Amino acid sequence: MKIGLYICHCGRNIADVVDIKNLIGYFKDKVNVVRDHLFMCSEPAWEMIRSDVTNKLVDRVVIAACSPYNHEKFFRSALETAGLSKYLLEIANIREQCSWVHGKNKREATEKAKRLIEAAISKVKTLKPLDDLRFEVERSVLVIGGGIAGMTASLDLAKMGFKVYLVEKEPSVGGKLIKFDKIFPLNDCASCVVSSLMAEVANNPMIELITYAEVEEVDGSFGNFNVKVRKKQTYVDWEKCIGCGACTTVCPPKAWKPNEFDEGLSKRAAMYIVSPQAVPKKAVHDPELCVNCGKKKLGTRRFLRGGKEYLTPCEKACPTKAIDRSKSWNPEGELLNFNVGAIIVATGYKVMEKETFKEYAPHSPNVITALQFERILSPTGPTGGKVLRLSDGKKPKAISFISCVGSRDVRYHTYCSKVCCLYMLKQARLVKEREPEIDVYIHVIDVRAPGKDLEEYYIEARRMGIGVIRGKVGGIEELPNGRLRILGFDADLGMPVEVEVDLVVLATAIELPEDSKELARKIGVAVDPSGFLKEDHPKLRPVESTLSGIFLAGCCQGPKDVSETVAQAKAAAASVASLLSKEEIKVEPFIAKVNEEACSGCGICENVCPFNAIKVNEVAVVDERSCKGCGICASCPAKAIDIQGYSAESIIAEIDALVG
Amino acid sequence: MSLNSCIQCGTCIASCPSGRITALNTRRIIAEFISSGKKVEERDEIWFCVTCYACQERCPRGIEITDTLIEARRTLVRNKGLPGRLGYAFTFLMNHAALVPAREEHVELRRKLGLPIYHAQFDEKAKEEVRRIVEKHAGSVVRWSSSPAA
Amino acid sequence: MRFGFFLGCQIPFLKPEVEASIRKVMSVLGVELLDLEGYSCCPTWMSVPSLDLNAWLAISARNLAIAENLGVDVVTGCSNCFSVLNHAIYLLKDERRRFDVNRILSKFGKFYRGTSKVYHVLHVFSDFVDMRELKRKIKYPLKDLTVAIHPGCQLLWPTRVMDVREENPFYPEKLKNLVEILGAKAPYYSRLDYCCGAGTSVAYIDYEKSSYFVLTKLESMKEEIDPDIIVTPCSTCLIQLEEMQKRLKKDGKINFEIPVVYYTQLLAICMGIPANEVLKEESMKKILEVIR
Repeated sequence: MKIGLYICHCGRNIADVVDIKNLIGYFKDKVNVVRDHLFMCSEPAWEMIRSDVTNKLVDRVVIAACSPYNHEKFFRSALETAGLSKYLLEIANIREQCSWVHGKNKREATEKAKRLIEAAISKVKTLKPLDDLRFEVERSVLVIGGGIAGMTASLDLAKMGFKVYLVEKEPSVGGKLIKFDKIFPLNDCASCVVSSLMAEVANNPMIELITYAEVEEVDGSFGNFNVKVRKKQTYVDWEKCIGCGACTTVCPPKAWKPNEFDEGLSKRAAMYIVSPQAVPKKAVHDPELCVNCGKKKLGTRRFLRGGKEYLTPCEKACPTKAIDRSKSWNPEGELLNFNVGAIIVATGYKVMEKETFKEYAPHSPNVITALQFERILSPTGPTGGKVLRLSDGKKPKAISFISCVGSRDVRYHTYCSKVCCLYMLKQARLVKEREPEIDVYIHVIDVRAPGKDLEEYYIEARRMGIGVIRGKVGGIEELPNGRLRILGFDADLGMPVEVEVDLVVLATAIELPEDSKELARKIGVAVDPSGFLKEDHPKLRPVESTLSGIFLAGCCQGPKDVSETVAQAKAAAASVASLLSKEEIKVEPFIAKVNEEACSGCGICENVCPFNAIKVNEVAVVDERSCKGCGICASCPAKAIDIQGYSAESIIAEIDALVG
Repeated sequence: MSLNSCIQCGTCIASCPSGRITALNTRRIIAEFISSGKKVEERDEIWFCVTCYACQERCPRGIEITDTLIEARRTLVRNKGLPGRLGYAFTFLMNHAALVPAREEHVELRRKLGLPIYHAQFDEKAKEEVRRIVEKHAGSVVRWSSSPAA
Repeated sequence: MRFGFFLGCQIPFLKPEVEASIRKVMSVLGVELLDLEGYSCCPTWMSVPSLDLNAWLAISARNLAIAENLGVDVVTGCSNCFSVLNHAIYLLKDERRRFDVNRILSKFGKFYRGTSKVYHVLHVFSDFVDMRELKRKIKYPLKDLTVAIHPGCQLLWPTRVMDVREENPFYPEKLKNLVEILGAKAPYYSRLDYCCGAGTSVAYIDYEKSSYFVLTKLESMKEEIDPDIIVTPCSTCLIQLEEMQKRLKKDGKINFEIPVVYYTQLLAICMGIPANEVLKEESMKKILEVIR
């Protein structure tokens, strides 16, 4: 075998500490070819390796440079284009593990570099020319979450010809966006943006819309995930239901509770339709709230004197007989099972409740969160779009918005929720447009309006006379007649201020909903310290999760506005497409391999494998898709299992060279 | 040096009951420390803090404002002594182990109400103990502050 | 139930009637109060803590050690003492400081272990005594009385050093519930959790400014709820509110004077304990006519 050693200067990152000339002199006689270059990751350096291979000077390659994490794929493709198996490559890390950490000891660093390279050379001698594994893929995708991110991704994927399963836990798609009135910077109507998407998603032949359902289990690996989805029981026959809403008005007073869609500002009954623009527009029954009119429990029939059958008000109201309480409904709903090639998680966000912030008078009905105020501004909300206080129905004379409630705060979340400054300005502008006599104040620490058109949006807000007071609010005190006193501070004037207003809107922080954390645990996606789902790299791979084949889109990955959410959704769809568009996918072959002759069929490997990837049928057999190459099974007592690319032989050769 | 993480949001002074009325401006104290290094212990207005801890309870950066002020007082007092009439109150404390002098009328009232009298003011040993502690650690300051020149 | 009764400086000498009321009420409820022989000033915030850390912790620890020797937790009537002692306990959780302080104390034959906790008299009623017990002992419930409650800031914050604390320190419930049990109304007013201004140094440095704190509070009370009486569980607040009201009235800044009373004094009268045992002669007439 002919070994070629290529040493990188890495600009001055390596060359300043490690004596490259010394290395070249040392290895000249130990390998066939020694070359160095200022940047091994550049095109000319690549050419250098390629021509050596083509001229048959070299048939195994060792590169002494930075961590394989950076450019391993790149170097491997260099070998491939030269016609050499890409797995006959070994990289010695003389930067992160040498020059970067031993900057003050140049002589010792050079000696260490020598050892590291010797280890790489010993290992490369034992490597085998492996081939990638090839698997067939399922050309279908699971999208979890039917908000703007989920719907955008689904439609893009459908256009590209993939089958999409769109699973949404509420009875209707639309997410948070249909709760909004208008969105910045154009102040266009949120419903217009979303409704068309919702209609498309419901009618697209490539998209199977599964609402009021949650993902229960995910197995397998990318290219072939096996998914179990539980459709929750609606107790209404959705084939017959026409969404007329007659049943939602007849429940008795006890069976009403604060409406989640209106953020608790209005009430809904036990029979309800989620929102006026619901897609699919079908009624849902909430058995926990139901009071069982006439003591008629689900699954029973009741007959009155005279033989007449008793029908509950909801059964009577329904014109299509979609509600039938005497049927034996399965409270567990229905379990669906299907296979997909990739998954996109787009479960969105939730806003923090005002009760968490005790110093801001949360028990007062005139202190509300921004999402609740959005419902008030929305034409489909409890006030029909009029700016009124819900406590007494009167128009407020002065409104204060408070920013950074729960964000940028060590007691709750240290991150900035990113969208609040702008949505507060939007809400303030909408108030001023509709009712110019209302005094509007915004209490901020700073105003963050980055990017195109947004600073201009802010300036327009100031021109409209919205008071922007720089200084965070210390507390809110309640005055009689429902007024509120804000203990604030004006940094521009340099003195404390007290503002008396009728309504206070808190811009509370955005966080990941609790059930998304549960879901992440089931799928295996990590949650990072900020509390959002973890992406693979914040700059270079923002839509990929740490697991192959599972992608993230939207606010579940971090707070962001609609434009970024849509961009991420499209990016996720494109990434999925690039993965699944070929007939088969190629995977690194670093998995377990069983020497069948040595295997005694003892079954220890099957017990210890954390991925259920090895099963014993007389001899051990590896499931190539599921195996992750972790190496636990290689501790086989009969030494019958080895990991390709990291065989026992290779590792021992490396160790021998390192300890000399 | 966590004072550097202050983002000048203004929550502290917004909640300060003293700040509205006196010259105490916790935000400015920290701002001037960050920008020009002016030490907290060089500012006379820190005596206006009523140690209610409203600011520390609410600071979004978790800065221990009240504790910093109290600690700064310990240095300030060594440089400038005790302000106002605190000097006298303090001398009394050092000598009698109490803040409030026991006047005749109060002692009478106590006897009338049948209440026992055992405050350190009346217990020689206890008085001595407190005096020694204060004397040792802060005696010089107290003497200085209560002298006519201070 | 027994506690070590830490009196502080102001109650025994400026307001001994408050002490009498506390003792009487406790004995009716069956709570035993032990005297802490040889205790000294806590020391209050404006004094030693602002002077020297070790001196402060040593004096506080000395006081706590007296209670520890008797094997009891401490209960105190003054919020200042409550705050200072709890802070001292919190800081003395650090081993190094405890070692330094015990070295000082050893010269006097005392040792601080950190076993005694410090509670406020109010906490005994709200957390240790059964509410129904308390209700049963009330012979004369108050009728038609509007009370402005003033819990005082040192009792509410900072919550991290307290063992018994309000669930929402910005909307304190404990004093409110205890006053309402007596039959009076204790409505909310916007400056309820405001500081009275006495606490520490301000009164000694600038008397004028200190009176502004009280003025703000009084104006808010008068405008919003027009109370008949102010009830407070803090002796320092009691003295401040009384003194400052007189002065503000003299200066013409207010034209009313609302009587101020300590919680246990009111409780004692409701329990049937004769008023002359818990109130001073001069104020007695005024307060009684308000309550009846």
